[in-house]
Amino acid sequence: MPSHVLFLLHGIGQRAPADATDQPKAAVEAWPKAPVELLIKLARTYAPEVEVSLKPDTAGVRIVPLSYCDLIVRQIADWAEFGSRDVAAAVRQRFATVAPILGALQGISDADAPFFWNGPVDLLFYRFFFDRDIRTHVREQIADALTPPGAGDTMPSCSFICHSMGTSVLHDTLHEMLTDPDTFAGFANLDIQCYASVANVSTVMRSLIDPHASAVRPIGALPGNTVRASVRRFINVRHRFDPVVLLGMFKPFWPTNKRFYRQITIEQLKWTDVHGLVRYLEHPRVHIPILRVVCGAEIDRPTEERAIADYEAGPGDPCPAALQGLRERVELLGQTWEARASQGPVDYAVALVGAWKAFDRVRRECGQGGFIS
Amino acid sequence: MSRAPMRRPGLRRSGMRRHCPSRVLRRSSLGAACWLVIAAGAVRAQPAEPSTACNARVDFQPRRGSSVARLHPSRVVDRYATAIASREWLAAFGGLEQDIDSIMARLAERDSAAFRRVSRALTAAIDSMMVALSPVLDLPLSQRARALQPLQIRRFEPVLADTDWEILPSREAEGVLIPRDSMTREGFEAICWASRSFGRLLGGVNDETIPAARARISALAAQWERYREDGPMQLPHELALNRFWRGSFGARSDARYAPPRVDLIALHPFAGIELQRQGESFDRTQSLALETGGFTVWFNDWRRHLGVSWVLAWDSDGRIGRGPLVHVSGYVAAGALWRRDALGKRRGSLVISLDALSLLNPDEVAQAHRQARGIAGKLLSGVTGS
Repeated sequence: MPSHVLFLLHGIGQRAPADATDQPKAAVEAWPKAPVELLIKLARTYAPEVEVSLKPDTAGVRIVPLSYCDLIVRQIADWAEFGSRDVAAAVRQRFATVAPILGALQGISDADAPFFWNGPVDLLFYRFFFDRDIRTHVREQIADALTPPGAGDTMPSCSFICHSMGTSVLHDTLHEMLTDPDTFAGFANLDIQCYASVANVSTVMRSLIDPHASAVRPIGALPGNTVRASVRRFINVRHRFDPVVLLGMFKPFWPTNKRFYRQITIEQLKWTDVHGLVRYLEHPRVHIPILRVVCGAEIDRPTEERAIADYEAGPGDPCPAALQGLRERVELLGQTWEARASQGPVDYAVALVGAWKAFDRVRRECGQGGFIS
Repeated sequence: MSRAPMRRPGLRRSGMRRHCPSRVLRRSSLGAACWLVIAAGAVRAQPAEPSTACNARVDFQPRRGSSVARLHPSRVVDRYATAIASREWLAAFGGLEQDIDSIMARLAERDSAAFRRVSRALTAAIDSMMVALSPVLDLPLSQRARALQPLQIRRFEPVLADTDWEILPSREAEGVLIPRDSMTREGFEAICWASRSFGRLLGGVNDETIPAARARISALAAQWERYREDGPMQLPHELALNRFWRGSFGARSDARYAPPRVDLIALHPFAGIELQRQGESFDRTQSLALETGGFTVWFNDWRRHLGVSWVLAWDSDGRIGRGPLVHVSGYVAAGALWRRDALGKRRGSLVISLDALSLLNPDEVAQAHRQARGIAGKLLSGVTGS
């Protein structure tokens, strides 16, 4: 049994390669490869004495990727099998009176539909259709990894790194577990040492409770709240030019200048994949605070500052004009979002289509191939 | 505060004695300087080498030669193995508390003020936890996790806060930092190991409830899987409708996490096969059908479901048939249709879904599906069937 379990949860738009025979399984297997490899490499650098691996019998830190993309991939495949991937648009056209909630989808043109189906649709899947199913799925994976194998073993402490839509899924899943000891018993008393929310969208996607006041907040924040806080260290990470985070920001109203909370904002626009989990994690501003807690890595300030300086001075994508274009489009997206009368999850999904288009365009301009072929 | 007893152990641990021979200490001005250094060292004792005592990821056994090894989690688990195995938690806690008190008292006499401050906070937290824990252990197992929640049992596990390890955070205040450089190595070990060991026993108390919770979580996941895999597919507007319907009428509290018991069917097109008697044989035709309304009910722990709906079906000439349809599994849906033929005569037919057909003749399904997809897609896009 490991001493500590680090869970990773993906964000929106995790899909399998087109030629995969078992698409849901392929999607689950594909997404964690790069972030897991990166984390193991970083742990070897900063905490070589700590064993970090995917193996269940590791004595140190076990990394456990969590997934819900298989449910989404399977559902999209079912709908495609049924008739057309553009079912939602067709339904909107024909049965709009039955499904007024989908009315906002009218902002998505046929040409934009591929962008919608390759990412933002996930938000609607979770928020309106399969939220309980997805939470049950993620909850079982967490419980599976934390259940002590024998009577003499104890549940290990744990940490979480969640990304994008995963920040909302994980927040809701943990909040349910932590606030219902009658159902989830000992899992309601998890030892959550680090909760790193990368590109946090839990606020705009909120369904169960305001994420700022939920059980998934640092111990010590909002001491008078009836909902008990359960996280030792809360690390909130965003990139200034990540449009996904720009729309619906996580902004705690409790004091944030405490040890239990760390806000990390990356300013430098270096990569076209500004929203990618790996791009976030490879920044020392992000991975050093996480590794400190997850591995107990004693990284001193000068080392941290040197690593940050080296990283920021290093090369990025060789297309400054495209990156400047992305910067401008993101700023415009932010302004458009702020001007919207309604800022619910459906509006958010529609706005994200714009973000996906911006990513697609900057990738093409940078010679990296688009999101949508 | 008496400093004298603290100096000598500080001297031993910090290794100053090698550099300040006793003769020098007594007779020279250099000796006076040495005493100043030693006195400072007693308050700010430097550990000889870094300690990983607070890091459960690497600290699996106590350091060889440590005088506080007794507090290490591995030793505690070994020492109280019988009590832990027989769930005699108070015996284990009582023994550990005594060990902690005696070792902390011994170290406090010779360690730094920083050590005494942290050790006082830890022993006070342990004392109050022991008082609160006793009634919790008398409760039935089903109530234990809830009763443990206000006790904040996870506050004993050290967590690295930038450069110092921290224990005992609370709702009202940040945790207590363990300034490793301001105490002896053994003092640091004693605090880390005592806190980890106490936290581990508390974890054991909590983890007794895990098997039942794990079974509940697995059961819920299995129910959802059956609901997802075996049930009829819902289209987006049906999902939205069911969401709205359940939101309006609310789920029973005991069904908060379980799949729905009832789903509505609405405007659900499908492609099927119609079988119509023609003299002595059956004529088989492709049919495009629409379930206008109905419902699906789940029972037997989501192992079975039954769906009933009203169907409109168009034949290749565009004549509309009407009738009931019954779903008996995710793959089988069959119904009876009546429509007037070209001569105005009312005729009955049997309609079955393509998935049902696959049970009868798997070879025909692939081709039928390809044809049906086009039909269903056209219906949805408003080209036909209006």
